[in-house]
Order: sequence, then C-alpha cells, then structure tokens
Amino acid sequence: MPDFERIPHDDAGRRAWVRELLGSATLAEHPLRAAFEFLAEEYLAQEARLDRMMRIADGYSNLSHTQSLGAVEKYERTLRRLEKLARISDRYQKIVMELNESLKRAALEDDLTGLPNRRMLLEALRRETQRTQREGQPFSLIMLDVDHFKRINDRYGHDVGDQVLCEVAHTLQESLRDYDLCARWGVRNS
Amino acid sequence: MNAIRIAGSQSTPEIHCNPESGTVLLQGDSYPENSYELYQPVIEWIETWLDRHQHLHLELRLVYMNTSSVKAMMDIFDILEAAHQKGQHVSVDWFYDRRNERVAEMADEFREDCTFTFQIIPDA
Repeated sequence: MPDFERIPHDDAGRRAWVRELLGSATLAEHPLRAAFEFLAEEYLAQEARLDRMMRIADGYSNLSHTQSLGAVEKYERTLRRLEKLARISDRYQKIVMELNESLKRAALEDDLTGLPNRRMLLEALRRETQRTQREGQPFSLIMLDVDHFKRINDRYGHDVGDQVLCEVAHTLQESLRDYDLCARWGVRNS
Repeated sequence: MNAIRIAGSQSTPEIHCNPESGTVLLQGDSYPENSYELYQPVIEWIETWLDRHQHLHLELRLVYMNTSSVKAMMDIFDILEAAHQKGQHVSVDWFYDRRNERVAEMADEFREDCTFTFQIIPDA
C-alpha cells in the first residue's frame, strides 16, 4: 500500500512514488484517475527530457572549456616560440653589427697605431681638395717622417719599435684640433 | 628514400640528407632569399624519415643565420623533440670553430627546451 501523504524529497524518490501510485489498486476507481495518469506521464517524460538536456548542455560546456584551455596553451606556446625566435635573431644581428664595425675599423684604421690609414687619408684629401676648389680656401698638409727609426728596431727589436710608433702616433693625436686628421701613410720600413 | 644533396653558397648552407646513415648535415652560413624553399624539403625529409625509422642524427656546422633560417631550425628541433617524446633516438651535434665562441652561445640558445641529446662541440 503506497504512502499517499508523504512526498519524497529527491527526484528519483518522487518518480518511484508517482509510478507506485499509478499502479496502486486503491486509485483504480478514483474519478480523477485518468487525469492523474495523464499528468503523471507528462511529468515523468518532462523529467527524462530535462535530464537529457542537462547532460548534453554539460557535455558542450565541458567541450568548449577543454577547447579554450587548448587554445590558451597553444597561444602561450606560440608566444614562447616567438620570443625565442626574436631573442636568437637579435643576437645574430648584434654579431653582424659588431662584425661590420670591426671590418669598418680594419678598412679605415692602421692596425698597429689605431690612426686613420692611407685609405682614409686619401678620402680626406679628396674631400679637402674639392672644398678648396669650391671655396678657394687652402688647406695644410704636413708630412712627417721619423728619422733613423731603423736604429730603434735594430737596437731594441721590432716590439719596441712598434711601441715607439704607437707613442709617436699618440703624441701627434693629442696635439690635434677636432677637425684635424692625423693618418699613417707608410708601412713600417725597418 | 632519396638523398638530398645541395651544395653550399655564400648565403646558403651545404645540405646533405643521407638515407644510408640516417644523418642530416647542415654546414655554413644561412641567409637565403627564400628560407621556406630551402628548408621545406629538409623538414619533409626528416618527417618522412622519422615515420619510417627509429633514429636520426643531425650534424650542424652553422655559423650565421637570418631570422627565417632560425625559425626553420626551431621547427626542425620541434620535430626532433616530438620524436624523442615518442621514444625515438634522435641526437644533435653542433660543431663550432673555437675562435668563434659566440656560435656556441647561439647553439646553446637553440638547445633550451630540447630534452634529447644535443651536444655543442668545438671543432678539432
């Protein structure tokens, strides 16, 4: 005999209770039996439909959550790769710039004394000659030779000779004005 | 599988994909006009090779690289890393000239994130 008074609290309990009432002999002759049966079946079908809808909705929500996690992860990985690419590329570029700088120095400087070399001097002479022609203002050129330099090499060796050359270059460089140019013309004649 | 053999030039490295030994060799400077054109066949060769074999050795003597070449190398290392994760035997030896330590530093940057055997070796 079903308990007609006490309605269960949980969904499954309620459904079992309704099904029990439907099968109960006590209700068989009740005037509202047909109406109850109709409503009860409606209720059970709706409950089943709601369950299914919730399961599907949860499924979609899980899927989109997983997808968005995947997208975030992919984005972060791409970002890391890009940063690494830029870092490595920048370093290569820096190496090339430094190489350029040292090539430029090698092309225009005397490697022993660090003075401008003959190439740079010729370039300056060409520029100054053109300026003289343009403006009619002369320029001065001083050629300097270290006399008896061979004696230093012979007596103290080439290393000391090199040091002397550097000192001479340094001394000349020190006494220049900003716009003067002191260059090394000759190769070592020892 | 066919071998790939490309002679080096001033702006492109010498490339040799050798199916006899399962090695890939890249040597020289790399700043080609079209990096994709140069590296895509190499990348495809490596992928096909790893589909069919369990080992691959990469021997590098690269010096200067432009950005797109750096990217191509990163792609290659990613493929090797994936193969390594699947248990395949992949290894990299990156040789450099002792007088140019900076190449070793660059190779070290590449090596970051790689868990397979990746040696940076001064050339004898």
